[in-house]
Amino acid sequence: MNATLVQVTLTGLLQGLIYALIGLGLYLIFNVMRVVNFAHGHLVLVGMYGMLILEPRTFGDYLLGLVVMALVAAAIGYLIERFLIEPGLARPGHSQLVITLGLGIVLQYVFQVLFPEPFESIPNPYPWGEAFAAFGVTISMPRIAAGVASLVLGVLISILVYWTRAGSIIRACAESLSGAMHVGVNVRRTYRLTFALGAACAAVAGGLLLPIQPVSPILGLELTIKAFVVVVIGGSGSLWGTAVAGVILGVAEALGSVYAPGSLATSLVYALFFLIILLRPQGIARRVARA
Amino acid sequence: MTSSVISAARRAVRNLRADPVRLVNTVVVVVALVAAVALPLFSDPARVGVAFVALVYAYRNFTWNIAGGYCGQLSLAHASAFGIGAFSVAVLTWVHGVNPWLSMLVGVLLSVILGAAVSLLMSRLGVNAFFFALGTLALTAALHGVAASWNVVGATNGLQSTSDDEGLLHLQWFVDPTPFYYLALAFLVAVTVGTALMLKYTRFGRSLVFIREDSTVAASMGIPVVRHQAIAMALSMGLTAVGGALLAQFVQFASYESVLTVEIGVSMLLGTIVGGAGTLAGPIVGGIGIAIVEELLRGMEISSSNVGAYTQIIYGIIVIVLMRLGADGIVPMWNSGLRRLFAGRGGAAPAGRHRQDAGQSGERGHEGPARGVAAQATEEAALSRGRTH
Repeated sequence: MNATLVQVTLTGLLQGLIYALIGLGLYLIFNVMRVVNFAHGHLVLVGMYGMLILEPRTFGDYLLGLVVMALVAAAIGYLIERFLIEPGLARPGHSQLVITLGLGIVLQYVFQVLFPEPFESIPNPYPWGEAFAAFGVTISMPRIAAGVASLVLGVLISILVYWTRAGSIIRACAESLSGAMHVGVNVRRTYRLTFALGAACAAVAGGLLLPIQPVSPILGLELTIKAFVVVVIGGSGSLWGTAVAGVILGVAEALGSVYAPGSLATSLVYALFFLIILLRPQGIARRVARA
Repeated sequence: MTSSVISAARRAVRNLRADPVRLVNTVVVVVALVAAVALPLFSDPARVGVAFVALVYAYRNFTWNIAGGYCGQLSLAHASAFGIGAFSVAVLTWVHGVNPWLSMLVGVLLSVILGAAVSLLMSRLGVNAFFFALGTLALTAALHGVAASWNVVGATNGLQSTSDDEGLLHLQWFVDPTPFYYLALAFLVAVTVGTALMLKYTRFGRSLVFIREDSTVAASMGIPVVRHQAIAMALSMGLTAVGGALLAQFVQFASYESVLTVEIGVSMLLGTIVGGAGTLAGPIVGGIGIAIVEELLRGMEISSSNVGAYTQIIYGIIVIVLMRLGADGIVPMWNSGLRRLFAGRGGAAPAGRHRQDAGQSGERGHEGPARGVAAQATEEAALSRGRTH
């Protein structure tokens, strides 16, 4: 295996960890509420543009910025759930789909009007140098840090979901809504907090992504699709399936970009996704009894 | 023969008298048609061009509505069909000199195949509307990416028409867009009448609303749900391709950014829902509305690159508000408003029917605030009219 291939695979792996974090947010919301948030990718953009506005100069500022963006996005997610999603849940039909899609489009074009300068970014905020190099492999420091941070956050969310009381309430709602209500779970509050958590995941991922990837309004829908691909490939079994699917997506995209120009690589990944739907519609992870 | 026609006409007039809402709507449709036919006589070519684009918006929304509105397949793959239609004439006619009508036909066939394929593929994932929308979104994004790097369709530069031929056979007019306008109008009227007849007189057409309302019940009634969904998507996307071909011939330019974007798909979906999905007039009102908003914004002091952005923002906000209030779009609201207006004069609405949605209502029933009165009335109006106006 030559060094380039190792480098590309590692880059894809790190990128995939960020996708996994974004997908995790969508997965949580979908599994608990059976609602796909079409504005999920645009919440990632909220994190990216928010970071752009905050313009962190030191590592401390950057960390603070991530926390601020997480809180802002959680508040936005809470408000979206409370005022736009919740009233529609009792009604038949798929108003949430159209509402979140409309919201995504509104956000996308608002960003386009507010930030006419395309592909802005921020300089490397990490104090450990510009890049890591060993054995002929060079990987930029923001990429490593973003991947590792995504992994840590993913593990923290898994702990929250599988080992805490709040997590068991979330899982109860996901498994059986009527059951959760019978044992006295406050379903509305759980929904709102889950949505807030999902939105925070997206925005933090956006903050982590910004030093690596210049921001553009058209990324929103693209990231929503990628998060969805991660959720479908991961299957509805467990959080781990989602994490693995994120890594697969990242690596596939990185490897694809070696053999095809940028936009075509993403298309190839989507083609792979359709193939997976055709062959394994239930996702790659085996369905586990506990959701 | 003649007497039966006369008696049919008499019956129609009697029906109109008995139903004032239908009478008003008939008058509106007739006035709109007359105005549409007369418009080029009173406008300069530039304005006719704008009207042509408005008709293309209306047309593509209408074709989206066949699968999206009637059959409930909230598809974003229609943007692919629009792009395929445009690229068909771009590649075959502009580059290889094939007759544009033939190229258009090729685009239609490709879109039909794609529509059936994507519908069958997505049915593997189950009937989840969210997954259908996301999967079709992914499809359009994938084709967008392919078009951006494929030299045959012009990659990032796009393709341009070089032909000097003019006339109906060559589907090209240079100075005056009036023929384009009438052509688009003819297509729109034809597809509207065809869809109305199909919904009323064919087994397939009647099954679409059942599939939308409850696919499980529809299947238990013996409707081949998966097959009919595939046919609906094929038909709907095939017709969308015609709109793409027309627009490309008019603009004489096609690139991945102008005709094959996910934003076009979203605009079709949102525009139709704002107008009223699952009605005949809704998508047309929504499409022409988009063109009017764009024109109004162009009149203000907004940079031209932002006109599209503001239009989308306005439509997005309208859609959010409509959905949030549980309303059904402009046309159903208009109908229920008329119905309420005439309610005192004997035009009472029939007994209500509650819409059930597979997999949703059973679980979500607990929250149970009653649906808004407006939505209920709209729905009754729509159901009582078989969702045909």
